[in-house]
Amino acid sequence: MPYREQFYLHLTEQGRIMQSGKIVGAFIAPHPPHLVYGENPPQNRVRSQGGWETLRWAYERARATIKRLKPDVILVHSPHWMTIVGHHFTCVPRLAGRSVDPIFPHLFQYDFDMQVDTKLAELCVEEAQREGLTAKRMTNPKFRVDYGTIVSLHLLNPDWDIPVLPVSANNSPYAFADSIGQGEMLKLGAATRRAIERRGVRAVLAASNTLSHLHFSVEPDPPEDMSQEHIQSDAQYKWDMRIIKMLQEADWEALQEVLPRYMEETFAEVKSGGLMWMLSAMGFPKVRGEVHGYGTVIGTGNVVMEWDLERGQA
Amino acid sequence: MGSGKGAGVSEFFAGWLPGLPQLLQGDKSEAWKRIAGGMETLGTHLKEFRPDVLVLYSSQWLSVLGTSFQVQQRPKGVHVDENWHEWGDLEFDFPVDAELGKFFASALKVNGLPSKTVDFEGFPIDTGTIVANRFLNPEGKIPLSIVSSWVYADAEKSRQIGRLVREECSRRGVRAAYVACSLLSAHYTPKEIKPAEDCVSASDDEWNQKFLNTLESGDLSSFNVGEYAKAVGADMQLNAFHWLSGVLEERETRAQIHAYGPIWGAGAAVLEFRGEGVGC
Ligand SMILES: [Fe+2]
Repeated sequence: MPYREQFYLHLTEQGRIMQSGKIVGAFIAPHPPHLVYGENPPQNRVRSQGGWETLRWAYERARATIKRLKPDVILVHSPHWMTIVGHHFTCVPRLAGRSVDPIFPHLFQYDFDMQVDTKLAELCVEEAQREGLTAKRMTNPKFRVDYGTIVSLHLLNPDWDIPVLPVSANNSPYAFADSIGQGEMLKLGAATRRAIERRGVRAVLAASNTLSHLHFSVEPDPPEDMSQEHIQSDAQYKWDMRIIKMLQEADWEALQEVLPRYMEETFAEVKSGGLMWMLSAMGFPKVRGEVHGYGTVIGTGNVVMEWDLERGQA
Repeated sequence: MGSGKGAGVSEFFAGWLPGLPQLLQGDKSEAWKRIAGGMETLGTHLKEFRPDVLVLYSSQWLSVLGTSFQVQQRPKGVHVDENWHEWGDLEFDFPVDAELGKFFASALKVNGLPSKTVDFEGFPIDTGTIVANRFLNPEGKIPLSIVSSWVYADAEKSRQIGRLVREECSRRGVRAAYVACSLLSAHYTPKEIKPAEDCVSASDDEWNQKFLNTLESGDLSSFNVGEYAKAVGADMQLNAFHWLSGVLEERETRAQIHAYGPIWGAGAAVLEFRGEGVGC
């Protein structure tokens, strides 16, 4: 089925009446490790003199929403857990260890310890398979959780007192045409929503994505020298603003129309599927997206954005 | 750095192999077993070469801010593959020639190429490096120097990096074995398969065979590597091959093919490169 038709089918199909569980909120939660590095939490072994405050303040507002929503679980879809064979759901009750960022190891050496909602993982696998997707449980307790997952989760809830469910990013958007890759994410979102309903939990979703992704290849010394931090290009900034406006206004048709070109021209990380997964799971709600803040990290564009589904229609 | 005991020796050793967890699961597929067998042969020949250091380029170690060189003295730990995590833990423990890695990084910088050294406890060693090392250095006695795959390097830059690495070894009298860990065609089968039925698509297979025949003949002049890489969705645009070409530059080389076959739909080959006049 063509991408456009799949998209509209998901728009209408997902207005169904929920059972006991529900998605109470959703976030675009970008994962530059610089934000954790700038914050200096005890879990990170590296110390900084701060930096990237505007984005970190944005996350403070997101954290306040999470505290208010009191979700039972936070699901995160991370492009840095890329899988080749299907969509994987973490299914180990507790995962702990050290995660060193392979790209910025000098900024991120984080001791993680997370509780996973494994029952929800099982249901997600079941529902994804019902959608015709290849889906798997990740049951290896020695698995090293990727930095994208950890950074987004830390920035949303540094207390780590809410169970989580890390979801892999299947590489189909990169291996195949947009229509196939993003189409898979729409199905994955629908499956995730049904699993949450069946599980009977209050869930928050996090799409761990940067927006425009072209960046500088030279790092300042120190990395937190904010006099060097700015967007990589004006064209990239304009694209980000255009996309953010569509997200704010819940203009899903316009978004779907321009997304392929946006992804191509700005290398946008949303290509990895987290955004489509999240919007599809929410049923493309006519709810205004709230921008908590926008900022750049080595030239990439990042927005922290929230959809509070408990506050109702915009 | 290596002891330099091989200074002045003109022989060389270069190889190419894949690095996926399937290769440690030979009982599941005849094809995987065959490829693993080829890797064992490459490992035996490498041992006979008695290198000071194994310089290993891994297409699965991606770097963004230029080329990275591993300089942690002895990486040790357990890695779980992000896709094939159900096949157990990949334990690793091997020595690294840290000083040589630092020299490589400096050589690149001097020549205007961005580079970094990596020395962090818990740094994620990639599946490719671990699997390759199991076959090439099973006793863990040969120090490694691991080279990352810089995502913004094109063919020319990759060749330049290979050339600079080889020149640095020559200058310092280091007897190095150079190996690239990479797939050829990288169109994976995106679903569960029966390992025994694993195969490369007909068109990728045809291209791979053509490429291998060309390497075997030693004459690449009429083969369009760029076109091949694009047609088969080559692993990291075949940058590992360009790196190896930089290493082998100015040498008359022919590939000896130890094995070729599928790994989850991708095309994998085990190759050994010998110079003219250098016996087996
Ligand atoms: Fe990222």
